[in-house]
Amino acid sequence: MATKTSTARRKFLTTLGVGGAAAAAIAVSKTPAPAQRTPNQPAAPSKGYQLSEHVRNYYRTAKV
Amino acid sequence: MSVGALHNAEAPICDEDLARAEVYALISSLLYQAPSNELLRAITSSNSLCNDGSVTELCRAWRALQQAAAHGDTDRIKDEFDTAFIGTGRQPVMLYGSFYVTGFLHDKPLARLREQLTQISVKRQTGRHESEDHISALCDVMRFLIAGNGEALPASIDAQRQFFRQHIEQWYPQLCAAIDTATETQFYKHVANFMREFFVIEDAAFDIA
Repeated sequence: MATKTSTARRKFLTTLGVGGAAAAAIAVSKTPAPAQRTPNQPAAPSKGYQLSEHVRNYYRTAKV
Repeated sequence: MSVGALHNAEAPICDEDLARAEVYALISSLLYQAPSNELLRAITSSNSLCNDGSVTELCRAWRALQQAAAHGDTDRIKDEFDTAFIGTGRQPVMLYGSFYVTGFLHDKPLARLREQLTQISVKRQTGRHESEDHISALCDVMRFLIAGNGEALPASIDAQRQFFRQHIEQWYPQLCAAIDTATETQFYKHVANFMREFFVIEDAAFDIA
């Protein structure tokens, strides 16, 4: 990926409201793990990426 | 194709991509099951998306969804979800891509999708009964491609674009219209509007990169 196109793309997204400096957690700071989380589901990544903690609801990485 | 070949080993995910992953996660969640009270409150109180007073269509749709979440009652929204998307017999609004693309459930697009999921090494969680062309499942794949997880790095924009174009782009307008015009929906009209505006931007942004 060329840095240039990636910059244009980021700018475009930010201009339209997706992203920008404070985009890290759209909705949830910390919520309890959901009831539907299955035991073999890996823990959600903790680096400011938090909404998915209770919406990682469908796929898991296949152990191949 | 291995995960290593597909995924892009470059720098950590940028704010914009983090936001995209979060929006996909949010859409996935809202269309997988009715939101919890925590999720409604989180949507309402979020100031991370469109927090600069932007008046784009996406921001308008986001603020309307926030308003709807603020006044939303979980029981009522659950009734709405069950009536609109689950129903008894044939549900008023289908959430599966095959239905919009071919008119049938479990048709060829689903078979192609399954092949691709194997290639990118993702699998349905045990206990998920929805087929893989459910909008929530597709959004979950997009989230995974954008953000990766503990075991896989984010995928390239090319890989993201390809998946979006093949499996979401051609039918999301019909899905959004179906949700919007259904007599059973209220809260979900706002979800559909937000989803549509987001996908429009995704589509256009994939043209840039």
